[in-house]
Amino acid sequence: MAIEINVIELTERYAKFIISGLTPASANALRRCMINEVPRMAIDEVNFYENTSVLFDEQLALRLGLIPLRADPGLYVLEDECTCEDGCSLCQSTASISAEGPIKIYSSDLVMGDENISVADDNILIVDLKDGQKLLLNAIIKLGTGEMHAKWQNAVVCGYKNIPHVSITDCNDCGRCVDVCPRDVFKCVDGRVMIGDDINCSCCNLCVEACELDGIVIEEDPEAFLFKLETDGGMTASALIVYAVRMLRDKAVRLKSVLERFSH
Amino acid sequence: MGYYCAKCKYLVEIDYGSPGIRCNYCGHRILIKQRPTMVKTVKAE
Repeated sequence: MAIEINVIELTERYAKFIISGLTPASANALRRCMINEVPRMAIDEVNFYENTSVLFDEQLALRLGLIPLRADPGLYVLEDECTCEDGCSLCQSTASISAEGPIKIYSSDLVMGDENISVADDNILIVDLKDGQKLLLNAIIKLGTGEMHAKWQNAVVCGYKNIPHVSITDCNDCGRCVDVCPRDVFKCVDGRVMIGDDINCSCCNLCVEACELDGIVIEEDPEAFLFKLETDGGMTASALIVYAVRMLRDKAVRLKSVLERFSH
Repeated sequence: MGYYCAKCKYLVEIDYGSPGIRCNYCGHRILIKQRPTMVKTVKAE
């Protein structure tokens, strides 16, 4: 069965699409790949030269690590896969902050050492320096994946459900299903109960229980999935999907070559 | 590397032989350890 993709909504950071012709295992592999395996850049180590702010070094380092950075992951390699021993321009980059209060330091105040890296959101407050307080630090940015730490996770929201199909086999237009449905799947038009947008159905079965005639049937398509995906701006939603599918394909090719080696 | 008073910021020389510590200048009992001049590396996690 051919795989079909129907995009319902696509913005820079959000995607909602139906993918059909997949097994549940493949859909889950795609979900896990988008969450865990697509690499991205994030601050991994921070060298503090001076910090007289109200935040401890560790708190500041954690805040810096969680700032989403926008960069093309194809330009860098993972630290473990790099041939260098103590960091090179291929596996790491730097960012620095040098400030003296009174000033509020935002993510846009990070001075990047590499022009290919930028912050996804400029208005994330890092620390508020009061009069006389100083902050001088140098952060090291590294490539990583979501399975190492959540700061390297590209998809902040990624989930799917089987496409539900709601049908009415018997109806006396009592309207109870319209009242109980939390997702507004049913609608009442001129006194007649009709099915609206059944893709919103969460399969809670409240309508089935409410119907006295047992006239509502909810089924799920086992091979069609509604994906919802949201990124933090480090990568666009469409780029993330394409990257994840490519990674899955490369993994499948590697697995095939290994299996062929064993079969000979 | 020493300690400074949290109240008057006076750099306090601590006499470990005497019982209790306090600021020699104002008598305040809260002293803060000075930050070392070396670079401190912290993992961002």
